[in-house]
Amino acid sequence: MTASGVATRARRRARWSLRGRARPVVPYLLLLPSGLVLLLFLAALILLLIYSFKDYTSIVIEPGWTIGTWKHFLTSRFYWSIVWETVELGLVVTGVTLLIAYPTAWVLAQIRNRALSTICYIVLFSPLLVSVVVRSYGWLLLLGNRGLVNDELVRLPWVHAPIQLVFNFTGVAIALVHILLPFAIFPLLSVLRQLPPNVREAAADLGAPPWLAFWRVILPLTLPGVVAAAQIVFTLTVSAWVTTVLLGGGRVLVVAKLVYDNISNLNWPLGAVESLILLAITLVALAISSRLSRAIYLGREA
Amino acid sequence: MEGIGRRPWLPLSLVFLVVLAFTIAPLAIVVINSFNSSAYSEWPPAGFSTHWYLTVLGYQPFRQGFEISCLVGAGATLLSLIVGSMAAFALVRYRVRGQSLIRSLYFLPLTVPRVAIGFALFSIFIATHSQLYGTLQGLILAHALIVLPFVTTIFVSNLGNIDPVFEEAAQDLGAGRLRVFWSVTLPQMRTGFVVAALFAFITSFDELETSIFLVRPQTNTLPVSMFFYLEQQQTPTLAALSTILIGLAVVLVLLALPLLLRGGWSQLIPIGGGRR
Repeated sequence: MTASGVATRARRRARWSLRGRARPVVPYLLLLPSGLVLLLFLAALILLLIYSFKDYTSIVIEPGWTIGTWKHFLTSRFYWSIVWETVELGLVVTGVTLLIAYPTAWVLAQIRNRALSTICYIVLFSPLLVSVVVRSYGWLLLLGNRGLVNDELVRLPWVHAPIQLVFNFTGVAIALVHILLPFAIFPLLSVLRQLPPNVREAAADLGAPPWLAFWRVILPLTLPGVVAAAQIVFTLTVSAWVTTVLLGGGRVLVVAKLVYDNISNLNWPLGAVESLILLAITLVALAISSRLSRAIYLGREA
Repeated sequence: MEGIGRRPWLPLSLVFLVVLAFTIAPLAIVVINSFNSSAYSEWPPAGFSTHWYLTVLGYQPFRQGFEISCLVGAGATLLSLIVGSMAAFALVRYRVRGQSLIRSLYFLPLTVPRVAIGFALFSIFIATHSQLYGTLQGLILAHALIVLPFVTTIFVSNLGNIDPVFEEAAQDLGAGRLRVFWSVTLPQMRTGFVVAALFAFITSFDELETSIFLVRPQTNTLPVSMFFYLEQQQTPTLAALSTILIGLAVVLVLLALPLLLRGGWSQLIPIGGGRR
């Protein structure tokens, strides 16, 4: 609150002081270098769009235009099943991650002891410092048929053989939940910390049992954080490639994997179509989440 | 009269402990496995051995990858810090036409999947005959692009929190625009630079999904070499390398800790909720 207050005041004053004296070219010169980098990026995306309308016959890209590749993708049951599997993975991972992240952020926001909370922060956020390859490798070691988890599981009386936890959907989902957990905790933590501490006391004084206070008061107040977390986790899950390839062992097919496989086969037009489909999935998710946050905001105003 | 859960409720605390264990587990198993004397990475470990650490140090692709990743990380950090801080300065301290459009443009690389960025850059590097494919320059450019949204946001909130009153004072005392920036603005942006540099370097050092489209065998970055290795085999050699990398990350955290504890850093982290 105060930070943004200072920021707007600072900005207003800066404009006032620089008005008249500043030559209008200066800010544009400052934006130029980063603008060139972004321009390269935009050009690359447009090139992708162009390639998706090119014909492809054995490595050679033909000069004419065609909608054949798009038609091939969009009318194929196989490709739609992969799109669906990608979205399904996104939904499952987002759901599970939120269920874990919410109570975690809750407890983290309550810890008053400074040393303890610092340690918890480091433990929860340090995996971000370690490569996704390392974390996926760790899960391969843990979940493999001769790994620690199965070693313990087979001791249970009703488990007779190791349970297949890698090279399938389950393994990919577990590893992705782990990798994306910090991204969900962060936005949740920031809304939970803004929650006035007397809200719960007020609900309790009015006779609400804890679960009702949570359901009717606390959850609605923290919903913007939930939407932000869901959006980040979903978009990162559907575009995740390394973890799906390593933990999926080639058996979990998602759009990101198709992109890489087709580029390796030098089928650029198909790879371009798949990249754009993947981009479309993340853009739809972004649109839905911004709709949701606006609805929450308007619901509050009313 | 008791406030509900002033202290976290016991079952919740247990959930919290389980989550902490879940977070640490895959890293802990990697460290343990790096000392496993068996090549098959089974549980429980067959015996204690430091043999794999010697293997890592002698394995050419990892040594080369480490060198490449350090160079690319340093280059991408430098490039993104320079262009990002310039852009943030323009966006915060000046009135720019189309401000909101420009800002959303800076967020674009964040919304595009890394794999798509990789393929798009690969195709433009090839199509323009720019000789950037498979070179360090190409990788540096790609990584700078990926971290640019984060770096710019860090600097924007950093500058937004700096009261321009000092800059005005310096101007009133007759300092030129460059002099003001160099000796008044820049020193105040120190925290922003440290946080942005850490963030940019770590992101670049660990980047794989874009890099893998842009490398040739002689420019394989460390994550790319590790990925190819892991696709082939699972000997504890990779665990030893991972342990070394975890150790480096721990050192980095310990070095940055005093700065982070001084406070104010959390406002600079770009993944805040609801602000986007």
